[in-house]
Amino acid sequence: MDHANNNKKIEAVINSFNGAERATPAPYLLTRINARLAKEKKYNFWSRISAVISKPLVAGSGIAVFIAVNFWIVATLTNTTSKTVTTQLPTGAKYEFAINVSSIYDIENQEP
Amino acid sequence: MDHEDIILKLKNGDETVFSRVVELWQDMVYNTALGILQNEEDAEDVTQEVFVEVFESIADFRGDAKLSTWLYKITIRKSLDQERKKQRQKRGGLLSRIFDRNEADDPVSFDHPGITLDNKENAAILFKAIKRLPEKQRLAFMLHKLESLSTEEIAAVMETSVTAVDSLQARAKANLRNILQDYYEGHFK
Repeated sequence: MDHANNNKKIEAVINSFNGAERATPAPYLLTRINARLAKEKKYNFWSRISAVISKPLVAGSGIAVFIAVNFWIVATLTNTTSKTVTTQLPTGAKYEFAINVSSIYDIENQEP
Repeated sequence: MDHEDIILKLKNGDETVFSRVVELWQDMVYNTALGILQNEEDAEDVTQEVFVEVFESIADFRGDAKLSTWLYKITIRKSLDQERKKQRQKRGGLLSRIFDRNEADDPVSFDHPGITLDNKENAAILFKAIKRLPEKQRLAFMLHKLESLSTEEIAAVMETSVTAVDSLQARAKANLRNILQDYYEGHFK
């Protein structure tokens, strides 16, 4: 009895869309669409670019790449500087203590 | 004005024809979106988006299908996108709901404005049950029941065969019967 009653209810529910009319949107839809189109036209190339850049994923990746490049540059410079120091030290000492290098005094007081 | 004339003028950016297109198909687009989303605000938003896309991408329309079929496809795609976006937001808000028990867990029942008064209560139950159907079955059922589309038209919109649509509709009805059986036996509120 209960089962038959349920089946009756189920059929009534399944057929409840019968005779339904189309729902209509609120008035002045065209005005709102035109306003939206006008707003979208304002978006030029750069505003689209900035919209893409400001996305968290893009911004996060950009910052990560920026930090990685900075680390790489600092690491490269550190290696180069230390090599320069080791190769220049003996050269610098040689010139600092050389006594046979002609100075400005020798150039100015040359004998005829 | 025939179909090809409308498309040609739309492609030339004729705003008068565009307003005629909106006037002609706004109810169809809105009703389809409303059936999928079960929310008037979201359906209105999707309707606007659909016509904006029509205006902006009419050049891509090849004319091998009817304009109404193209409109249905855009509406369904945008409605499903909107639905997924809402589901993601809901999942994101799960943590806040755990700590805020006052918020109602059950969604509010949907009242479609086009349903006859004596069917309102049953239709609200049916809308709730429809949400539990797989996507394709739900679309096939809704397009037939709310938009009164023929099997051939549904097949064109869903880009599938007529037999596949028949099968989807039969499975949708069978699944709905099971869901409603559970509902009346008190397993699903």
